[in-house]
Amino acid sequence: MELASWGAAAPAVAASFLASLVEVVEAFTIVLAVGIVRGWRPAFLGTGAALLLLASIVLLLGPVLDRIPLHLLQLVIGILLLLFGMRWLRKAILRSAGYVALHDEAAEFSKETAYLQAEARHHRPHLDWLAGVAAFKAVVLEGLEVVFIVIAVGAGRGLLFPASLGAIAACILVLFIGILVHRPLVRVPENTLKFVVGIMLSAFGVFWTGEGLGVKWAGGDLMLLAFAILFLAIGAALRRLLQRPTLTVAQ
Amino acid sequence: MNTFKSLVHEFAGMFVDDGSLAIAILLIVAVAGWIAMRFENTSVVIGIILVAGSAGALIENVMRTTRKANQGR
Repeated sequence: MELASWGAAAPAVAASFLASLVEVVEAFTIVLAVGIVRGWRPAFLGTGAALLLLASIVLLLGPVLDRIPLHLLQLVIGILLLLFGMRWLRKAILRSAGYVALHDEAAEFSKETAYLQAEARHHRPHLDWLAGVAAFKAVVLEGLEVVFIVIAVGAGRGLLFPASLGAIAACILVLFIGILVHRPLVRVPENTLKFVVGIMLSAFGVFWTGEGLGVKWAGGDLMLLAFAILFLAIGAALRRLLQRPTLTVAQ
Repeated sequence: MNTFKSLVHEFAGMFVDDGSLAIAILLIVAVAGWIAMRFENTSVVIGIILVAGSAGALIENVMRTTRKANQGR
């Protein structure tokens, strides 16, 4: 890929990398809890099965997406990105303004550990199965969001490969740090990441929806940056206007 | 079955958290789509509707949510 093409791909790579970072950290917390409480066999089996399912979804969706007319694809993906991005942005604004509790990986880890230990007392014979399902569910749920983001930011302009690279880089980074620290990654500024990704996905959403409806954006791809600045300004202004003491209770 | 149900529920939840924001966005896109089909040379108008509409929907939703939360304190 040429330098100019990488320049055009940079927003897609950055969006998929940052969004994947958030999702992989959440999945890692659950898999870590399963691994520590029940051993690594069910954790790895559940994770492996989930990754297989996610890879199958991508392999099945890829050829289907190629057959959809570009404008229709841009419109559908644009609407989904708007819904997805605005949801993240709304929640990130409410969290940073202190109206919704911040997501707490340590609390999530404790909750999952307590759940698995309670299950151990009641369903000992099926415990490995339950632990594997917990890891499977976590990786599929968070992974589905990663798959959607990669497809959404990549499919409209043939940027699936660079968008996938962004997601893979996030997985490798989280795994690397996770193996090093061997505990939940509580220091990841999840809400800030969600705020940034919400802005980027909302900007992509407006852009693709417009292209899908036949809008010729003045300035072309540069409008993505303009939309991102607009949503950043709105988010920052709302946060400042509505700020109250931050809730620390985990959801 | 429960795992499947929760997967479907979570998948829908990827796009819809607050229903009214999702409905507002879909309405904005529907209006923009209707104009695109009905009239010609509407690129600028559709662009403005999409940008102003989605930004307005976000501001209104966040303001309403915080107002409700403040009333409930």
